[in-house]
Amino acid sequence: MPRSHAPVRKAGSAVRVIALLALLGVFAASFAAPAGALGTVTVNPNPVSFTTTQTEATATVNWSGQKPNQLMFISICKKTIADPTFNAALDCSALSELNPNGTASGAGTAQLTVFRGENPDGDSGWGCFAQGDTAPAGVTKVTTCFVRVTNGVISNKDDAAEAPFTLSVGGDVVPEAPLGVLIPAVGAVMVAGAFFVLRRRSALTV
Amino acid sequence: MKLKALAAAAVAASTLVMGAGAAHAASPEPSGWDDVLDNIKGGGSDTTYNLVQKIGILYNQGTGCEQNTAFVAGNPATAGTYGNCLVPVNNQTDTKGNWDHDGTFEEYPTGSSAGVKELLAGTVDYARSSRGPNATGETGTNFWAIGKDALAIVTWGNRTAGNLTKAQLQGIYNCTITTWDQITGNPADANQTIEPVGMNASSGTYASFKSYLGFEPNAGACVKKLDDPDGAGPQTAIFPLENDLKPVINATNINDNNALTWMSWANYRAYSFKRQTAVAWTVDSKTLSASTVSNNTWPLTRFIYHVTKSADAAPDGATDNVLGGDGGKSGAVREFTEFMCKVSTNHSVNEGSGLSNYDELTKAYSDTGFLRVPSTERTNGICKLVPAP
Repeated sequence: MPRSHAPVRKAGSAVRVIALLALLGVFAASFAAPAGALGTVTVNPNPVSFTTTQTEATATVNWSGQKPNQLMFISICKKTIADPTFNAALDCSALSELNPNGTASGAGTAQLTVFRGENPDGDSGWGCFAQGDTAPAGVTKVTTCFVRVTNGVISNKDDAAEAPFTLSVGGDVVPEAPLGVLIPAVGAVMVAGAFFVLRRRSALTV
Repeated sequence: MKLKALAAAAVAASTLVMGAGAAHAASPEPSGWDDVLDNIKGGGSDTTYNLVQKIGILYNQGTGCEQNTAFVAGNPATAGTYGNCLVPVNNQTDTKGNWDHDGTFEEYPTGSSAGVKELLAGTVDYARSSRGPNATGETGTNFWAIGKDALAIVTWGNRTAGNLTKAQLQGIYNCTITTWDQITGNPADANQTIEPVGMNASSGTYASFKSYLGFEPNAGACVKKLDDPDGAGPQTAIFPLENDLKPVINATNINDNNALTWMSWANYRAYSFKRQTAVAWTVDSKTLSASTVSNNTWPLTRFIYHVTKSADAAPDGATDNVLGGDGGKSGAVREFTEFMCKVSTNHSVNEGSGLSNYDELTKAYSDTGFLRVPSTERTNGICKLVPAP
């Protein structure tokens, strides 16, 4: 009889392991990027630097994780690919697109001309601008644009990966503090302020 | 006084009603619309076939007049008016779509030159062309550039892409450069015979390459045909149709690792099934990209055209309005041409998607790999007009 307990225990362990793996799977899936999960893209420099009068600048785009030996599509877009309304035809600049031949490793590099101002396609109603730029009437000012990389055909969502980039003008870049630093810092200042206010009030009442 | 005032108001009201009725009684604005549904047919280019099909679908979906939907079989009284605009009862006011609900249809491709010949012969109502007008023989036609394309020089198999000069391409196609080591400089390529592949001579893509080389690309003795076009056994050798590498790869008489050809850049980047494993070469050290095609620094750029008879569709100065036929198929060609060329603000909303038809057209261009005519090269709306001499 006792021997019969062993398979039950083993079965229970197996169930626990499977449940744990399933939980891990759900956890991993919830943090996975919606598309292009395996691909990486970087833009250098980022922010892309412009002189005051410059409307085009060259940036280096590096990518990896794409299908090997496929025609590549590198585009400048106004929206993230994570946006459910993203449409490459409507949200990316056609005239800025590059189509280098793919590599055997699925990684590559290209020199991309980044525009500052209205999308050179014309009639599209958007452009990439530095923070201090003024967009012309009827043109939406986008200050965080994206370099999107995919392969095969422009509409390939499965392999699409991206990197956001910003534009800076005349060396006036103010490095942005990440929220992880800003929130505690602001919180600390508020707590310190409250401490001093309360201390002053209590001093006055005494 | 009261009675007079009432009478005046009644007269004013009836005038307004009649005026409003008159405004909708017939097709709006001076145009090619005539309240009659006409079906028109285009033929020609393989390169632009898919794009113009997509444009046609959007045009066919365009908003327009309220139609007579009462079909009575065998009744001659309704046979002539079924599908036409209801006159004078019509509440539709959107004149930015396809008022008459004209229909367009694209014949299966036979090549740009064949399409223009069909237009001149009157067997199609407009033509698709991936080449500009010829110097002679096409008088009385207007070539409306509706987009931009380029030629890609491609190899496949295990041949790695490199750079070719114009002189080298001329040498390859006139058969004076015969082995790959003359291109790559690699002694290992000394015995590798270059196999330049020809193309259907009715094709605009053929004409564009001929114009670039300065001679007939098919004329050289070294230029390859397909020996077995359908894979079913020996056939009469033919030059392959443009832009599709599959039959070339399947041909048993062509060595994949040593062959070279050219194709539409738009087709190359939009259709991986046609492209297969082709890789594009740089030419004169220029890289093929949207920006080099747009600014003409790529040496083999070209426009793609919608071709009409001048009497059917003619420019209205430098505007996006199109003049020409007042009704019938001629008017339908005029309005379809205007649909292709008009600026974004003159398009209506697509009732299926809710997007402007201009945006829907943008998607059609993207899907098929073409660029719109760059803004610096437009003459009429978003088109560039090139009348045939």
